[in-house]
Amino acid sequence: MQDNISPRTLNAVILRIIRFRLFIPLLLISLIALSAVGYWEIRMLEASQLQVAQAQSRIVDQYLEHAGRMLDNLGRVAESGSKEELARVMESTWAAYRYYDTFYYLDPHSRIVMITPPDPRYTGLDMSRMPYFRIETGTEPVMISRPFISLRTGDPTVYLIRHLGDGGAVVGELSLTSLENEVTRLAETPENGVLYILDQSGMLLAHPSPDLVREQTFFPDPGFMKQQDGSGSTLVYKDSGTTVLGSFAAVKKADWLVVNQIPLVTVIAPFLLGLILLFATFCIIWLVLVRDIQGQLESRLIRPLVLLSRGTSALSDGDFSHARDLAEIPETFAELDRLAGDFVQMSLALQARQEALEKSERRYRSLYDENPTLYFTLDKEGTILSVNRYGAEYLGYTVSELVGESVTNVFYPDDKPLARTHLQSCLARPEEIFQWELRKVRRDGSMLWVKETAHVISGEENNPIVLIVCEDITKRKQAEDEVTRTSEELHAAYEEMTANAQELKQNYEELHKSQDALRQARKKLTLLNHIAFTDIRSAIFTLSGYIQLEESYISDEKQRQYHDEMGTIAGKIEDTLNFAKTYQDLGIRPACWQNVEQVFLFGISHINVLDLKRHIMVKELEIYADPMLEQVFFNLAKNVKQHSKGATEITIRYENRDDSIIIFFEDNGEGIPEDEKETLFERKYEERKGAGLFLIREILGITNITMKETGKPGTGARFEILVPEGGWRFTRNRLDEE
Amino acid sequence: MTQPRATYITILLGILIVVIIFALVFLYGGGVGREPVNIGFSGQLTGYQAELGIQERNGALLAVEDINAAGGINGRPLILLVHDDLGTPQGARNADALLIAEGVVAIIGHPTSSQTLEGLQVTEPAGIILISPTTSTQDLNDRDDLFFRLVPVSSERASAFARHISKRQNLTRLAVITDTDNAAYTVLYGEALTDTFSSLGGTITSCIEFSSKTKPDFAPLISDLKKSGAQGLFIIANDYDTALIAQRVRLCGWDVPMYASGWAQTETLLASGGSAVEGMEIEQALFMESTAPAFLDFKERYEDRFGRPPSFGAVLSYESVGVLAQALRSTGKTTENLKEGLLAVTDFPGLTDTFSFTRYGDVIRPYYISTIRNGAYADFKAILPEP
Repeated sequence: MQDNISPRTLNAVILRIIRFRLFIPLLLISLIALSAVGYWEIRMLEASQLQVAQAQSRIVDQYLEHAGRMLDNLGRVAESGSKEELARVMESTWAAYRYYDTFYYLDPHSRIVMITPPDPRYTGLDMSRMPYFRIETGTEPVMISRPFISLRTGDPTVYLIRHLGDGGAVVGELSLTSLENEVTRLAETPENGVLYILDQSGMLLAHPSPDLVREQTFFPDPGFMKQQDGSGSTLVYKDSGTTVLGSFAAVKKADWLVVNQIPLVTVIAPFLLGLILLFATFCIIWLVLVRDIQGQLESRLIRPLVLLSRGTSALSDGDFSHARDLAEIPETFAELDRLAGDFVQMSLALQARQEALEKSERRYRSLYDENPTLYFTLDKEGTILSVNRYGAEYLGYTVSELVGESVTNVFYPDDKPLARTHLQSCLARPEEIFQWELRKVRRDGSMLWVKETAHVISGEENNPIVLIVCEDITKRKQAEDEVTRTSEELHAAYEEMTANAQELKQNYEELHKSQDALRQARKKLTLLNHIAFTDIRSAIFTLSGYIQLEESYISDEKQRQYHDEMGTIAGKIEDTLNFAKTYQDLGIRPACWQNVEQVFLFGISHINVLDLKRHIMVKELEIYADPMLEQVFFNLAKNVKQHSKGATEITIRYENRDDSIIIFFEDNGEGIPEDEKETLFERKYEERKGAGLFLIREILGITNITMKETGKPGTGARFEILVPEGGWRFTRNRLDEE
Repeated sequence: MTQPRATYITILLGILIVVIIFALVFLYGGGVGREPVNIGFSGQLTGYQAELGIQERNGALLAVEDINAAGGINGRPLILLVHDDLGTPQGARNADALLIAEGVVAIIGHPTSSQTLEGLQVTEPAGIILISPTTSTQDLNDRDDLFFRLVPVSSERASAFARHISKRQNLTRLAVITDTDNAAYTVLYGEALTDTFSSLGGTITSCIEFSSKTKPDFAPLISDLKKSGAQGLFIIANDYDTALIAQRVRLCGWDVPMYASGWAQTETLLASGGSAVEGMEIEQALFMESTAPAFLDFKERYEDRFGRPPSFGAVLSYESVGVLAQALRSTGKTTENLKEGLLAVTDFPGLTDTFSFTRYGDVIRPYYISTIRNGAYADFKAILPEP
């Protein structure tokens, strides 16, 4: 039975908790507390009401006491004085105190002897039948009659009777209007309730509404008389249809009652109002609370839970889109946040796994479908259970066209029996892996060779499934034929190459021999040059000596002219020999890295440059140049000494430009004229001026170093030596300094 | 397992709410009950002539309490709304108008004929039944109106009293003093008295009128009456004035028998009259010496309730409410057919005797003459109307 009961919703459970565990206990506690407060307030009100009634009863008692003393005094006067004296005292007392409306002096027969104020209509009247006058003498000297409405004044009145020793009496007609004024005054403070005075029969003697008194209104005794014990008490009763709370106190001298009553509604109205407001407030709070909690539950718990539930359902269906919805769940409380967070994490993890799985599946599917291999799974009958798309399409079919068909349908007719045989063998020995090469037929009828590898596994219900990996080996078959043919061709070509290699080897040996012969020849040629240069220079030196000796014997001008011309030619020959000697060495030795400063100092050391101030600013700079670099700086310094008039200092420095470096060689002489700059580095110019700049360019050009003159005439010559990238460097010391 | 407990708590909550609602309705609405039936009382309640009005109001109040204690009018409670007519014509009209405005179905009142005549000016057009316990003026006799009364017509009673004085007391010379403040009653009463007395061979030696509102000194008036040589004095005035006149008569040494109209038949006459009223014969609307259990019970309860003995006015007023209640019960309505309901009343069991109404709403019941002896009404003699 219990299983058939549907569990309550979370909303209903929370509402039950609010209703039965929160609302009702709080309501009951509040009602009890309010009832206690109401009871306490009523008790306080009762005490207050009774206090007012008792105070008023004491006032009435004092009023009657005072009036009684006055009348007693009159009685004493009547007993001891003359009538005239009594008349005067009555008159003076009446006028002085105004307590009494009328004083009567009665003879022993109860006839009115004197009346104050005087009224002849009443003088002599027999008052013996007046019930109010027939009060027996008691212990009190002054007796008080029952109240009545005076027929003369219409006001509530009592008689106070002082019996005299002779049987007569002094009677005072005491108006109770002063009491009425008192209760009327008290009625001006409604919170004290309505205060009135009743006589023994319940007739009103004083009331805030004077008409009720004059109409001799009787109030039914609600039980005051029974409970009258002098101290007073409080009752709840009905007055004119209204339930009231009345407190009463007895007037001891007259057995009257002072009643102070207040409608019960007035008393309990605030309490009831509070009760109603409390109840209404509770209901409103409860409704608001329920609505709010419902809303809160809906937004903070139920909806997230529903989302979680939906998300879970969606997850089970493989839908991960709800994970994003869960991420939008507002922060409610930690547990739910953690749950939602965990769920999102779980969803994301599952999604990642799923995506990875799908990706893997796609990859493997792609691998399966797109792999240029034909995969088949067959049942034991040879029916195709699956085939990859590549395999199907490779054979000219779709997957669906092949699945369900016999695999032998795609074999070359002559190979079908063999295929069946292989398949049976495979099924007979499932623990082995079989391979075979057969021919298949495409849909278009074309044939292909395939190599199939087969293996049996257990499928559903242990049914054997044959996995077949099928590889198109048609090209391999064709290639094998081609290789066989090509191998034969290669073999022939190899034989031919072997013969050619032998021939090359012979050629190489011959070339090596030629190089050795060339080196010997060059050596011999150099030696020959050296011998020739030495011999020529010796001959030229000798010739120059003879020319100089001949000079002293020449007298003829024409001869001298010829003699000088011979000397000049001999000098040119010597220069040419020197140039040739120098140029002959050019490139003989391989280029190498050279310290510019050091080579510069070596270069200028062959010349006297002490008269020139030297500025060397190429410290640690090395360039890759021909070993004749020293000759470059020598020639440049020599040119300064020989051709730069006025030069007093030389400077060598460098600048970086892009990836290159420029070495400046400068002097402060007269410079090189503009018209000579064009031919400065030509051989002709060197022959004419002997500057050696042609040789300098050649030496530098060996390692792709260029040179040009950029000085301004008049300010000195400046040679810029451009060393390309890779042709300059700084020494290790310089790099360490930097 | 928690289902029964939840139901139990739900029931408790429902009970709590119902209790609160009932408590509120009871406290604010004074309980659940049927719609009450309002009846009015209009009479002089203040002033020195208020005694009759007070008695009648008290009698009506006691009747209402008794009727409600017995289940009301077919289950509907009676409510008595009271207004003072101040003993003046204008006061009577105002009081009745107020009662009509307050929705009364009928009015008990007025005690005196003059005020009744004025009140009818208001009640008749409004279709409201007016039942007077003590109005006896001849002016309202045999009129097909909405007025009912429980005392016989004063003129009849005056004539009967005149015959009693003439035949039984063998008086031939009678002086009359009349209060003109209730002229509708006193004048007609006096005319019937004097006419009858004269018709029987008697002589009205002197007839003096006064207004009680002026609080006259009766000594000179009595002196004049005394000088007329009358053998007896008939006082047509209220109880207190009758007492004062009686006392003044004796103080003057005029020792003649005195007679008083039914207007003065109250305890006040006995108390204020002293020994002077001893032997005075007075017309009585009721047999106040009746020993009928209902009457004795009424007297006892009246004294308990109001601290004084009831007068004829209280009795008649009590009966007036009783007969009205019977008519209301019979009609089942409030105002419709109420007149017919009242007229249908026959042999209504009053406190001292039974009575019925004529087709004009005048009562058919005996009236009495009593003698004051030892400070009390005694020697009641029933007098039936002349055939």
